[in-house]
Amino acid sequence: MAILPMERIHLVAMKRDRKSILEMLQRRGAVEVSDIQNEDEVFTKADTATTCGLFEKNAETARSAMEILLKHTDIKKPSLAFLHGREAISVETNDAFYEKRDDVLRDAQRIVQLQRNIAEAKAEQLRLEAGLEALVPWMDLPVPQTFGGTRKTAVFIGTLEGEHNLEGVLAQLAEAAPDLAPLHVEIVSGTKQQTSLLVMSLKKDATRAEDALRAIGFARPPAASHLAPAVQKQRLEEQMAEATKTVADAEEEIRSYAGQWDDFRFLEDHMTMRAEKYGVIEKLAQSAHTFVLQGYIPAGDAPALQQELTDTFLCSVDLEDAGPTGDEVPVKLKNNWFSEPTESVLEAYSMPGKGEIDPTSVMSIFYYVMFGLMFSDAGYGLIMAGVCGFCYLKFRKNLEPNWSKNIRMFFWCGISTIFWGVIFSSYFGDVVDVVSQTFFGHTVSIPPVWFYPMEKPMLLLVFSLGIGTIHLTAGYIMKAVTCARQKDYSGILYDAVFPIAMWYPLILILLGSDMFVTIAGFKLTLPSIVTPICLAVSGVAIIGIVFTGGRESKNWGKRLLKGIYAVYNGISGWLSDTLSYSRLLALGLATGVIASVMNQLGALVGSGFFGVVVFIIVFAVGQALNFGINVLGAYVHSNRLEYVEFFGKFYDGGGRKFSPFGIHTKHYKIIEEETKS
Amino acid sequence: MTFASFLDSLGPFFAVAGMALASFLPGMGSAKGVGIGGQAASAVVTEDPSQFGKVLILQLLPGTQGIYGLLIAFMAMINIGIMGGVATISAVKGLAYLAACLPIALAGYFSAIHQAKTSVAAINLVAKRPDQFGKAILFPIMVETYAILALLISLLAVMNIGNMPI
Repeated sequence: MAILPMERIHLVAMKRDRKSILEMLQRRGAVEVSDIQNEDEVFTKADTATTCGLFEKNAETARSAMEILLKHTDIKKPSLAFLHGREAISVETNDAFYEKRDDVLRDAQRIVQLQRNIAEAKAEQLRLEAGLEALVPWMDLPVPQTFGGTRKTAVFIGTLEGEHNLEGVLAQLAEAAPDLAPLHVEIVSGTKQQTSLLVMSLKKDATRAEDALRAIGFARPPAASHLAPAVQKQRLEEQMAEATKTVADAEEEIRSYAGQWDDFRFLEDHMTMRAEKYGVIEKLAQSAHTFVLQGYIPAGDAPALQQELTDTFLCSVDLEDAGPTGDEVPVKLKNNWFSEPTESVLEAYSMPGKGEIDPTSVMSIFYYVMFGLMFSDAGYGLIMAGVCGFCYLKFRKNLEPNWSKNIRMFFWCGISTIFWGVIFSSYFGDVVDVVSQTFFGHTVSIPPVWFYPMEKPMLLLVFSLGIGTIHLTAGYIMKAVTCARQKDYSGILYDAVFPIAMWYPLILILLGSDMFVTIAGFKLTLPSIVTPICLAVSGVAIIGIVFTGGRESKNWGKRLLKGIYAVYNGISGWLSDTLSYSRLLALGLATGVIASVMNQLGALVGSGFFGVVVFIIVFAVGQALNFGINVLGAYVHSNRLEYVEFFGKFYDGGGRKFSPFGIHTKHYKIIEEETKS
Repeated sequence: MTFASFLDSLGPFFAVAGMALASFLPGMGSAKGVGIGGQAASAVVTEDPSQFGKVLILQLLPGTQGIYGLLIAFMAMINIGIMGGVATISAVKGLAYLAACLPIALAGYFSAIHQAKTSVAAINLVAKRPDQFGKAILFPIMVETYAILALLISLLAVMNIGNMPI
């Protein structure tokens, strides 16, 4: 349980070494670089935002190229990639890639361009298809749709809505323009939706003929071509073939890049790394020939890095104690193998703020215990611990830190779940009983180490509240430790000792009461002297809180009122916080009971081959469902009990996580062999 | 059959009515809750598929009330003896089972819907600040507390009615 002490590092070096130094720092991943604020005539800062943006864009190009490759080739993303982590490569491989990065980038850009061509060609195909479709009714028309007529005649080509025959059209026209000489009408084609017509009139009648046609709803075809429909169709088909070929060619070319898959992965990483490096360059102060870098480094890593830097480069490295972590100084946690996995739970809340201690180790014990109590089934625990343990053992070398932590956390949660499952005899609910009774005719039970929760739920309730009381007390002890760390010694008495001294005697009196006997089923006989002593201790604590609960107010009237309110708050807080742990019972019972219900549903069909098949199916589906629901419940409620009930007593957080300048890539990590020698 | 003996024969009916309430009210609440959570979650995944895991957890939070209701219904079923086929209980006992089912039935229904609304807000929070998941999940969990308290009372009551001399 510790927060690593931090040192502030000041590095001054020659600008010609900048690239090498930064790349080395990036590979070490030990320094968080801070932004140097003050500029003067000598030292200025470079604006690298444009360059950074360019690298990020290139990384995006690599990503797009890979996505396109996935679509067009049979390359498969490996499943469960998170277990395999990033592939390790040597510095030499990295440098070798450096030589060909421009070619690979060009290829990636080409792939993106090809995909764009495909999209355009496909849009073109749609357009051509629509054109061909529109031509269908006109295929029998020997002249272009825009044909206007001959020297003496005017020709109108267009459509009428609905189905019409020749007589109908002529009759309508005669009605629309009675004095007009009869027109020559030809029906080119007709469907239920529309009729395509060619209408011819004398040129001198053209205007009146057009008016008459418009009156009966005649419309010219949209996007009419100046080519005869048959010719136009041929032309469209040629274009169609061309577009199809474009698509096929582009797809073929994209497929030809499949062999460069690894290069593109590398390209993405390379560009991400360089973007990060240029982000750091922006934070440096630079003169004509030198540069200054400031940052934070965990004290333990500092001397080695200092040595390495001064040995390799012409530079000056100064280290100084950075002081308390929290505000400005970033926080890095260090815990043992047992507690470390729950650091991510703490991180999800907040890193320790200024003057606070790292609660991970105390938190982790309660986390595992409470998770196990709520999940509380040996079968489920075995599955969880087994799967996580297997994954960890098999993949631990390459697991990313976050995944490694999660897997180990659920492993320990699984172990705790097995423990509580055995204590309360829950093995996939009551699968042993159900199977033995249904299929073998006589009931076999595994007796619980302690008791069946279903038989004595009140005892389990008392036990849950007891665990809650211990957890809350641990919270007050952590408060005392935090106060001691901040040299606020009166705070220990006021904020930790008084609340405990107020509550514990009351619990003791409650344990001796008749009510407790009916709940827990056993009697705790206390000497008669205990009750008055308890009341006295509690009373003193209450008076203490009345006088100190509002000690930030100078005005005594205000202070006492606040103090009385603090007593009320203290008692109701203890009460509601303790009762909150009844969820340990409720969720623990829920797991076991629903699992048992699933077993009983499965056993409804009875014995026999069919019964066994039904049982296996119902068992597998039901237990999987129950597992999922309850692992979610146990996880979120363990978090809640830590965050609200436990942290509420002493922990505010607000610290900033140490995020060193490093290699934050997706596919590869660079390892240096020479560091070992 | 006299009216009094008819009334007394209604014991199993009251108990089953309680079971029905305990299963369908929280079930309705959870269905509605998970439904509106899912709508918000889908919207987030449209923009950022990598948030799927987080928003799925938030969506599922209001689903637990339905499970709690089911749990009480089953506990009642086992305690009444419906599973074994012999359910001869007095009207008073039947009414007691009905009353015992009410906490989870009502608190389950309403808490699921209110939890879902908080979940939606938390999903929006995660969409904007994925690193704040730990805090986002806390708000809906606060609502869940009251469903759990109701579950506890229903559970203890259902388990103990059988021993009551009524």
